[in-house]
Amino acid sequence: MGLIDAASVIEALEAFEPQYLPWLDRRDAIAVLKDGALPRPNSEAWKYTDPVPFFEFNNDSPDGHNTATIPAAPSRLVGFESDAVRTLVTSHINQAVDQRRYPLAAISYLKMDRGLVIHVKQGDAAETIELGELDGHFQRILVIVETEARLELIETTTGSNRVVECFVAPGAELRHRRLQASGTGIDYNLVAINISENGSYIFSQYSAGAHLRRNDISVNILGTGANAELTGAWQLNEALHLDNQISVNHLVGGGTSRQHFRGNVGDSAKSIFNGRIYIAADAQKTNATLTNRNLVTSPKAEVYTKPELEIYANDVICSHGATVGQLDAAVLFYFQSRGIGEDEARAILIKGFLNEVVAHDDGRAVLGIEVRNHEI
Amino acid sequence: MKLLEISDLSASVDDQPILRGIDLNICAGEVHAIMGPNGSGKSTLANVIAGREDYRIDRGRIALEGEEITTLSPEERAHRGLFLAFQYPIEIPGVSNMEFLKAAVDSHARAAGEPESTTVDFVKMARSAAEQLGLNPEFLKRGVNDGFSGGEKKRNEILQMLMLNPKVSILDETDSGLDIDALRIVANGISAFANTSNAVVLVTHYQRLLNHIEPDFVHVIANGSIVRSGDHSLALELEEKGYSWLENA
Repeated sequence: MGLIDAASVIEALEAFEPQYLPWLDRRDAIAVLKDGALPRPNSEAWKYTDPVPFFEFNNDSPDGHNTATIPAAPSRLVGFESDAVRTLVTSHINQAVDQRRYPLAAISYLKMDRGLVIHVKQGDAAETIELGELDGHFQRILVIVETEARLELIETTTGSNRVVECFVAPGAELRHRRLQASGTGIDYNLVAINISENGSYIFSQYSAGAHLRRNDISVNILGTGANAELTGAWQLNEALHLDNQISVNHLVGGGTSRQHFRGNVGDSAKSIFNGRIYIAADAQKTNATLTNRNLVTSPKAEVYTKPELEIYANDVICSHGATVGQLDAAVLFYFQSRGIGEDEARAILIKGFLNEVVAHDDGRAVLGIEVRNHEI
Repeated sequence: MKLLEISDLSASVDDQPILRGIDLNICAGEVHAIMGPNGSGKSTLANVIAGREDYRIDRGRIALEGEEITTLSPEERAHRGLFLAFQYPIEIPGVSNMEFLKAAVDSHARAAGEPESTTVDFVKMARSAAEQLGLNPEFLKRGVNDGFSGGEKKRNEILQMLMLNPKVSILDETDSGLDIDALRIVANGISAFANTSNAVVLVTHYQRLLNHIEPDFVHVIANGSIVRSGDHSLALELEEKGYSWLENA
């Protein structure tokens, strides 16, 4: 792993003169980085993914936008540059993002060249928004779902630096589906969510790997009855890399969260999963679960998985489990004894294993598993 | 016509010899019962015939319809008409019973150079087989053996047999875990399936299944060899006297 010259990184960021949103207050982000937040190779959060390439990428100046190949954003989305949303932007931005914990998000903020607001007001009809590839190297999406409102967001990312910051108001529901096809680049994503009382955030992530792909997911449970359901599946092959770091923070009691992630890792691919549940001292009556199950289908594949529980309250229900396994020879024999050859048996078993957390056909397409025949 | 010929078959598991010179001939239209005490090698014999890889054949041959099958993969043996109902059917969460059955039936069609059945025909066939075994068709949508009761698992094995229509069916302890009603339903299914062109081998510890399906031949395995063969009356004798008189013979 390489070394980061922190001083020169910060110096370059400080000297950077943003063309986009010059009015944005960037002082906190700089202060956090100066205070030593930059990721350190071999630190716990970067144990299996070298952070240095993310910096090299982040230090590149944007080389202009290739808008020709990128579809315009849906009309429901409003750019940060619009005066109409400036108050919304300044009052929400970085309220859900812990820049100290996610320094790459701080850098992304400093160099932001694309910002979009999705704002669903109380009384708005429920809707589905598809968010595809966007121009801009450092993208920030603000999703604000107000009291009792509902939104389904389907996000496609293949290679980007994107921070999605979500606010789920009391009684609101945000369904967020993320489709990550395989990529060849260095890909950083953070989703940071604040959920208020009786709000619900339902996240489904389907991923193939990239040359380097890091997904940070941070959920703050801020009200009684708030609920977060995070599920995801990945299928990695070749030498692709996927690092999912999830933290569900129960800061107020009476909330529920469920994390269930499954992956199949073949060839010489590498999968890293860290699932954290944090329960604050007075977050009593919290119910939190975490499951990560992995299949390793090649001797050269690597899987690192770690549940991490940090519980300061005494009246909570919390469970976790992580497994790494191979396809069982006895199971393969069962298939073969019914005439199903080994390759087909493996494909069916991998599909079945992942299907336990797959609920969408577009998700299956990302994973390269056959769409289930609905007739049978 | 001889369907299955086993001659001088010896096999080991983890370098431990289990079968020691088994000879057995099974013809079309016959029902055989293989009985014996626990650990005698009954299940090993069933698994060796089906081609389980971690069971090593040390000597002898197995022929299906006159052709040696010991070098064939388990799926090739299945395509040629061999079926093993497992003593402990495998649970496969996430793979529906219907999908599993369809993959199995399609693989047989492909191997025979026949067209795969359409989904509509297939579903019809599977539902009718399920009904014959007293299984709710909803059962076909569930994960293979996932959360099934012991009896449901055994019925599911018979369901697969009915769908694949094998020439030689080896049913390993299919009666264990069945209550009296389920035993009768399963036995009726097997009896209805057995005909003059196929053969059924019932591997069992107890005589109770044989009250429902009368075997033409009964063989007793002890210490990896067939120590006695006879007709149904041998099973009744075993019921009365146990196995020890034969083991020590």
